[in-house]
Amino acid sequence: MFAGHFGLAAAAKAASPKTPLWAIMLGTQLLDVIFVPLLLTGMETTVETDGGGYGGAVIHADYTHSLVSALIIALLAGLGAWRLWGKQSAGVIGGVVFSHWLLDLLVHRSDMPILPGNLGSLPLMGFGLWKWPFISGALEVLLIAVGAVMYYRSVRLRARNAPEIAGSAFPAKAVWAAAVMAVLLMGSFISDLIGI
Amino acid sequence: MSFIVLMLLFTVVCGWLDSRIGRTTKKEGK
Repeated sequence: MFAGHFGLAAAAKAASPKTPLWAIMLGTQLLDVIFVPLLLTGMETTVETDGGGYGGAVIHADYTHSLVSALIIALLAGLGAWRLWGKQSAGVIGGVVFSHWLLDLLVHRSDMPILPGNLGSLPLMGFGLWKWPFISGALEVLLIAVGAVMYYRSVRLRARNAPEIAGSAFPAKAVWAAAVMAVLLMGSFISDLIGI
Repeated sequence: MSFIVLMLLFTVVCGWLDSRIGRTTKKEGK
């Protein structure tokens, strides 16, 4: 779901031009960023299933990907954004951080706990779309396509206001930014598919 | 594990390109 999260980031940037793109992109991946050191230390683990490959894993991320943890991390990220960029960006950053958990909920097998550390051994969540790679893959393609189009339209609008290129139908800076975004979105999807 | 490196790379490249557009818009607004 690497690509799907970035697709959502591109769409969120289009909806909130004042919030820095890097912060939105980092926000959509924040749970996984925190997951990495916990994976390296063995606190959280992944186990291959159904032959591995794209989506072929049960992910025991009981601390970073529990519902309550995701809400707390989103809240903290939102508060940080509020201090840096104001109220609107706080909502955007908090929202995109929590969107990671929601998108993961769609694709993960039932491995996402409600409480951190799976406290109380409550039922695990996950709709398991990864069991049907064509469906989860199509969802990711849809997210990156919508994100890329929204982002292009947004940067084109912003760049057209620049004095040196005012009136240009296709400002070069916008085309470059959108093209690079599109390439990187597709690259992240390929990275998802080949499992790196 | 490579995904974290890719993620940071994507974030830096896209963030930098986008910030160039952002600065241009600010100048225009003066």
